[in-house]
Amino acid sequence: MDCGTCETSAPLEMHKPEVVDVNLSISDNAVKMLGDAFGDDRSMALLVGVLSGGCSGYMYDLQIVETTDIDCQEINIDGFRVLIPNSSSHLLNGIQIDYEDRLMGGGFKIINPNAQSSCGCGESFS
Amino acid sequence: MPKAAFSDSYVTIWRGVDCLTFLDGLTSNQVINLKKNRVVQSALLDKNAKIIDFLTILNLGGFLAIIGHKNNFQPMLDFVTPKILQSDVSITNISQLNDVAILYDEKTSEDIGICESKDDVTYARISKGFTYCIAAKKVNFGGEEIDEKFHEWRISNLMPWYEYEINNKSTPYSCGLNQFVHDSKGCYTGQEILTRMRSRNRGIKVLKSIPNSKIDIEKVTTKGLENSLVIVNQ
Repeated sequence: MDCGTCETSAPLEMHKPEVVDVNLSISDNAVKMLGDAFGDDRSMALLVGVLSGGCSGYMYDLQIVETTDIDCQEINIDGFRVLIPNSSSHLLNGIQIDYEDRLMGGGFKIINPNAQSSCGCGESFS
Repeated sequence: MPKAAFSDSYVTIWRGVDCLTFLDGLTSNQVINLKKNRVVQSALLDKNAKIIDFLTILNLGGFLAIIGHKNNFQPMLDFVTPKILQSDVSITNISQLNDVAILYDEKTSEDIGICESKDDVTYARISKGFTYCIAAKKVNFGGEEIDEKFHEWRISNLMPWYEYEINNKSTPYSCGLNQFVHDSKGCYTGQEILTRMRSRNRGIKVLKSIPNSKIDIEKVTTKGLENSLVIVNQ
């Protein structure tokens, strides 16, 4: 097999969506929960990313990080640092981060105006 | 053993540490644990669980080689590339450099699910009687195009094929690819629909080989000389 390791075949040009300046909001419930999670330490940040997969093609990925190698834009909301990867900024512009306090199916939720559909658990969207 | 050139195929090379995770999140079979020199087949599905392409995935160590049908190449790319985002995945189309051929009707006791290279040809043994071969064009490995003999073999072995049974109007459960749906691997695109079909036992069909004298011609997906393939309710 000729696997194209030399100059005979270059990688295909990948879809590179435009980077947008993300606007997002955080509900009062989510602010309270982030306050509990971060405490007084504001060196940490909430990374809101998107991964491929899930029932609808994309999955949200929330992490608390100090730093990241991912190329991100940083937004400061209510004293919290929120990091959004530029590669998924087009999917996350306009989102609201909410927190639902329920024993089953509770936790952080993303309300996304860009999502055409989402799966039952709310973690995946398209 | 019979050999047929699969010139309606494409071959791509996938590189990057996230390739297996990425494919696992988008296809119906379990791919994430695919070890070096192993091969697996998996369906890439849209959100309605319709087939975008049926992929043969070879783990060749530093990269994956993926075989699909050339008519599905652009839809596959259109579906896959927007989802790469920050994942370490890059795709190279090497179809122009290689021929894909099929060895079928082998009588062998060799292990299935393995891939290996011998004399400049990469072999991926899919089942006891079916092997994909990828060879550089200069090797001249091709052979005759897929013909009636291959389709007769498919009919007797209940093997679905691109553009006959496998098309973008089918789900894996409606074209004989049931064994390539992993029922506990977790979420992937189309998974909710397939799980619902399975739990309600609705829309699940099987391939059958039926004598031509006993079938409704409109239901035939592959017409053979004496028997034909049809898709019927389970």
